[in-house]
Amino acid sequence: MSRGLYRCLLWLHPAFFRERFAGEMLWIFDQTVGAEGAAALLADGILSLIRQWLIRRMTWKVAVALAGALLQVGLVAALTGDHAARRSSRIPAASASVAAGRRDSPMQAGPEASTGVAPQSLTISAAEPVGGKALPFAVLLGVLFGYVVQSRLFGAASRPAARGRAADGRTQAGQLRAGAKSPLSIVAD
Amino acid sequence: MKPEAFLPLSKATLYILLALAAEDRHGYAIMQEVIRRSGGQYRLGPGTLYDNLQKLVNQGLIAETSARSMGDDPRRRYYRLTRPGRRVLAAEIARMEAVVREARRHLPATSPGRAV
Repeated sequence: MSRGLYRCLLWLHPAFFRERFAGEMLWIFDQTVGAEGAAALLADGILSLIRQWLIRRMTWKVAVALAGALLQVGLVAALTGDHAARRSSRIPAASASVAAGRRDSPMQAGPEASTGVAPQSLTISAAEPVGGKALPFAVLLGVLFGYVVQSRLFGAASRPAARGRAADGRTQAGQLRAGAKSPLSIVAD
Repeated sequence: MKPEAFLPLSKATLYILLALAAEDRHGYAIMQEVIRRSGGQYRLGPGTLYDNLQKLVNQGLIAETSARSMGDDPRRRYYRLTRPGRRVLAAEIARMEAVVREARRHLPATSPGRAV
């Protein structure tokens, strides 16, 4: 039972880590489960799973970007909703004043004065498209904002050289021995 | 990069480098050595161990080696301490010695098992 659970945990790890270490980890599980206890090993497996996906695979950056996007969407939706509510409440009031025959100012004259469209139809068409068009734009803006923020804050960690192994396969220590710039100086450049 | 750039080492990293200082070992042997060196007070789980091994290989402080004993399980990977890894370990030990020296200078009456 516990072995099956541990195998499931290993199977959920990122492919690179799983292919490299899962066999040995399962073998160690079999060797140590009697002495260590299954609970401790399963807890270690869960922590390893979280670490591999969120920290080593940088998936947390996507989470940060999504959080930024949701924040933006919420903010823009709240603002456009408020704006649309104000417009829809103002237009009927204007049409009521038109019906009453009052023409106090050009702003209160009602939309039909310039457009020739009935006020009731404007009330609906003015309120709905604001949110409808703004939402995809807000999502796009939010994702961009989240991406920019996370790349500004954590950009150094996502560079291949800074992660330890460069594209040519040399390690951090190897590059530094060869006189390459440190990851921090690369970022500073 | 100077070895000091890697300092201070985490507990897991320190014990892994110490375990590999004497000889090349595979993962399970490293775990056993860590338990032995810490007097059973520190135990590495397989997930923590292999995460750290992967990180240390990427940093070039340890390397996989093909050295295997006869009749050994071919799935086992052996690791050895590289020269930069040895320098980092030496720097960490020097750092810890400096901490201990400083502590002794300020707390001369303190000794293990004796409250101040």
